[in-house]
Amino acid sequence: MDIAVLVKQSLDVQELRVDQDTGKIYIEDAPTKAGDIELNATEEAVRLKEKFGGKAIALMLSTWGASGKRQKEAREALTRVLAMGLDGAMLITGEGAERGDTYMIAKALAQEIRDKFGLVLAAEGSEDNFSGLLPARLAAELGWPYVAYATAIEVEGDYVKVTRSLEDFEEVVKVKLPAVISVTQEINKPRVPKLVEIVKAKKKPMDQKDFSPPVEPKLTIRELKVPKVERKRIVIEGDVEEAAEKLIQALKEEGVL
Amino acid sequence: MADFDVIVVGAGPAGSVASYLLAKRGYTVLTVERGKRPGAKNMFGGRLYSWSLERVFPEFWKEAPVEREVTKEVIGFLHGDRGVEIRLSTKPEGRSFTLLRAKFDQWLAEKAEDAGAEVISRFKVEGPLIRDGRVVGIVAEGEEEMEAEVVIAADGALSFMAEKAGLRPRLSKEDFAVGAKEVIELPKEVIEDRFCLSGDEGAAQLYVGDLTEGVVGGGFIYTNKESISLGVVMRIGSLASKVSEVSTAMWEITEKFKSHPMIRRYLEGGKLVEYSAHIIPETQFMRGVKLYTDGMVVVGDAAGFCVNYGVTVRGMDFAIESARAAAEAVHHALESGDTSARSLSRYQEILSKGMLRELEAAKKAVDLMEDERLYSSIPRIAVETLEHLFLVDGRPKENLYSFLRKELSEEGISLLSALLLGWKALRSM
Repeated sequence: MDIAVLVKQSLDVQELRVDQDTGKIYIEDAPTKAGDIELNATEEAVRLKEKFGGKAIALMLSTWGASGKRQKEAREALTRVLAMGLDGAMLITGEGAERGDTYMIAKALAQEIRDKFGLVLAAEGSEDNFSGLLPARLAAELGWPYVAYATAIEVEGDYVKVTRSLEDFEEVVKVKLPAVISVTQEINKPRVPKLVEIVKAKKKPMDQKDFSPPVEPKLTIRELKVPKVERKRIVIEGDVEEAAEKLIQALKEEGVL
Repeated sequence: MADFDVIVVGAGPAGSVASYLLAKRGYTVLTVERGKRPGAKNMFGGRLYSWSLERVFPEFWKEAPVEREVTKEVIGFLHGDRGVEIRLSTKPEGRSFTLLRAKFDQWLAEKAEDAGAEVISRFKVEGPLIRDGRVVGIVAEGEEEMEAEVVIAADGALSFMAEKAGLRPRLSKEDFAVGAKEVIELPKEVIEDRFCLSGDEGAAQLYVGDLTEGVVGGGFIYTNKESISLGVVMRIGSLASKVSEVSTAMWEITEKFKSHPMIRRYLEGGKLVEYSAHIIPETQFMRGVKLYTDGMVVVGDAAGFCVNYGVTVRGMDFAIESARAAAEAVHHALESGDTSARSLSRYQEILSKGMLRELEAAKKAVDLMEDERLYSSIPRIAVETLEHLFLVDGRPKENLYSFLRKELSEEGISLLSALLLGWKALRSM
């Protein structure tokens, strides 16, 4: 059974610069990377592959257009996961993908996955948007079962046993393969590739494929802006009792209490 | 058989240029960079002198991400809220450019990559791999060993590679300066207006004065396309010796510099977009640092190739030139199959015909720059003498000579030692 790991080319949100005055986000200046939880998905894929055989391939659909800088970053992100032990990677990129919503991306990914893979592993959410919608949409497209928030995965013949971490309890489910599973960060500790593995990863097969939009997106992003947080800038002075009294008064005036 | 012909530690200008030249010759090159990507953790004031990089990439500025070509040179003396600026206006001739390292270093590293070098970022090298007294590779994080015929240490001012290979003693505070820098965004037209620039012209401005409270050091401003690089450099040794007298922290001195009436007008309305601090090697190239050993050479800041001449501050151009010389020596060593210290000594030979002579000659300037009077008395005298010269108040004026004498004696400088200082300055530049 071959495994596909979904790797999104996410913005490195730690390096995102914003202009507090205008709300502008300097998206083009921020670098992109593979999401942290995708490293957990990769680790799990490599472990399953080592135990049960088959191949594990990274799948990336870049939504950043044809810019050379972004293409390079995409290959770097894939090299990162390849160095962890994946067998190969496929990078789908091209015009039109930058308009992609989860609906369109799921459809496009499904075309690459159907008939080729027996299991899809993804992160419970991406590094930048964290909508967590894509794995579910993809499963729906494929008509496969979907299990979210996995903290342990075991393959048992044609079935896969998944432990899910829910708020107050754990749930163990068994679904028939093929399936789509999203993992949480608790599932494992991703290995840190050695220098020699990174060097070798650069030589692993990386297929590049042109993107062609399977459908029109249903959602268009008009504008991205930082929410403006206006503070009241009220400083209450005096001893504790007095200050507490004033604070309650101020909160009442604001209609909070 | 080693894993690579050459392993280069550090993808700064020296590391990338060495990687590029050797990869271009067909050697297998691995370049390991600790930062998130090349240039991510590198810093300098703001200007590159072109001569050395031009030997590697003729007219590189046509392709490289440079900011502005420096055509205005300013030396400034600050005293209190007064100041003197001397401005030189020259023609553009491709001599020096301001640039931002995050972009520029990445461009250089890409050149190395395109030539075939494997550039790997975000990876820490612990030190050289030493067997039977010779360097045979590197030890990377996680005790991982990687072998190479030759290792090039381009790991910057604090070079643990050079130290662990026994090529330099543990350095002391006397060997370093510390620099703090801010990048302040301003519209292109505003920069051109305030610094009297047209088109892609740029300004480089250096200041000394009482802002460093007598510590050897000063302030700088370089203009980029749509931002200015501004900061303060101070000698750590000098700073430490005055620690009880200097009341202000480094960042406060930067603030003081920024709020000086003469400096403030350059920055007004600007937006702080980046700040950084870095250590600068200042004197080590004179302190018996060895440049090579069996299987390894040291280049750039790691070898201490950095000089403060007062009116010019240089490091990156020397780094590039040292990398070029090292690449040539390494090529010969690999070609002859002899990578011993004796064979790699060619590196020093190449340098001693050019760059090292210049560094040797710089000693005088560096000695002069140690003179603390330059950072306290001289700026005050410069400001007050000129103020006296321009003073009109309806009263008879003391002549300039007796004024100057009085000023000097207030600072405890005899006329003779002032002349000597001037003479030293003229001789050292």
